[in-house]
Amino acid sequence: MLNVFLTVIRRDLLVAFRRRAELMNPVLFYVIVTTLFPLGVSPDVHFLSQLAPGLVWVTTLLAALISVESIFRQDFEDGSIEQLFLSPHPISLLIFGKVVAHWLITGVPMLGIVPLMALLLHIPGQALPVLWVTILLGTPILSLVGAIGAALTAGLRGGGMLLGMLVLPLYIPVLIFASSAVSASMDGLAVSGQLAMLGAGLILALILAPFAISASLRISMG
Amino acid sequence: MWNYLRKLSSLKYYYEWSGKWVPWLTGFTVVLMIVGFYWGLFVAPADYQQGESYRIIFVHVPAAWMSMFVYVVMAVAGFIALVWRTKVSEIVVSECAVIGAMFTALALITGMLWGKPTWGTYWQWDARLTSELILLFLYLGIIAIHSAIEDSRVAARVASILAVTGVINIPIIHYSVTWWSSLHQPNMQLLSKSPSVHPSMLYPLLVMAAAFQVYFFGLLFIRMRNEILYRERLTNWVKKLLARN
Amino acid sequence: MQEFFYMDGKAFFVWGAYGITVLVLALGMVLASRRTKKILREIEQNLEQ
Repeated sequence: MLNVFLTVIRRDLLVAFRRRAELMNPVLFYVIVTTLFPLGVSPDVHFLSQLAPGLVWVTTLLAALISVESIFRQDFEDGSIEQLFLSPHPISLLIFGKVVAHWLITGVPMLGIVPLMALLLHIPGQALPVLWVTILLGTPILSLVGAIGAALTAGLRGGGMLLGMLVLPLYIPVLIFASSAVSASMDGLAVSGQLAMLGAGLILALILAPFAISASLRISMG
Repeated sequence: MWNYLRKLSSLKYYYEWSGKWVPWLTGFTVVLMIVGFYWGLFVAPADYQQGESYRIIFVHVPAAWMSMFVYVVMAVAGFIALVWRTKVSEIVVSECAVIGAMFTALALITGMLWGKPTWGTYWQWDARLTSELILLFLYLGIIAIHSAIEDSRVAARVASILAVTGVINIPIIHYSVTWWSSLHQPNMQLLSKSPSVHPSMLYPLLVMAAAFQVYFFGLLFIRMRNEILYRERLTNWVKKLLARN
Repeated sequence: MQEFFYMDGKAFFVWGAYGITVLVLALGMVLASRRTKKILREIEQNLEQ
């Protein structure tokens, strides 16, 4: 069982690494969008650092949304999703493997780029560990919930805008708890409550989302 | 009980059954609305704190209640549609999305009209208004994807999945928004929306709530009958039905 | 009577809220019954052919 799960992950990672140039896209998108804010609002240090937790997390939501859109696209078009459904193994597990692979490709690079974002937006070093933890706990939720929407819109042409409408409202709790944890840690306040909520959300998403995703894919295949 | 429900899940039987209810529902709606409006506008005394503008609550609160009630109906119907794949419950889902969005928009607009004289601004990032706005987004998302998919049965099942996911998420969203707004503006809770309700204000509110409830089922039945008629327009039972009239 | 319509100077908000409620609820019913008529007409035309 674990073997099948790991095979799905390995296969998706292999496909991703064949197109190495595309691997960097979410990260680049992330950095470019972040540079827009000081230009559009104000480069003032104090002002920016006050805005920063929200900016980082809104950008994270958008990056997650854009990257999750294509999570099933290729497999849907070439029919490999149908192959997964025909296999004797539990479909939720296989689909979960695909989401994990997606998170490894898009979520993990964000952990690496976050210090740079903190530097650009004047987030003090003391808040960096908390920012990391929120990204670590939050981005898997974004991948799991986003994958439900991606599965529902997989068969549609131009489903990108629609995906945003479906998924962004569901991302709101993550945005609230994660950005509040970061700003609380910047003020030197306790953050265990917010992190606990994120952790609880992650557990809930891990339990329920795989079933919702596979049910959605089954409907989209018709 | 099960037999009765199974019968109701047939489009033809449902059409005949709901036809008997529609005149009663619309009749009761009109009566309750007139009583509720008269009571709320003429009989109920002015609030000593908010003056006359509190009368908006008699239309705002029932609309807000309905916006949540309709979502629950939609999610339950969505669950039934996913498990038993009955066509009637699929139609309930898609029609509830439209009616629910209507109630939610109404709750938002009347809430804003209440907010201006009470808070001094049309929009306040207050927990209840914000949750209501997010609820509207959820409804609009369901309507959007339902209309984007051509096959009506696939569309209904996609909408059902969203409705069921939403109903798990709504308490979480509501909790997080309440928590967030208590963090940001504790000072705006000066005028709570529901001060200890006096019976002279409670009764008209309950009458209006009942009126909205009956209105919802009336409109839901009418809209569902339209959809059934349209889907079954080429079948024999519809043709016979029309030939009889 | 005039005082009643004046509503403490909150007339716009109170009457606006009630007005929009009546408008939206009535519109919901009117649109639905218009669609009923339209569908019935369509089916009848098909029957005659």
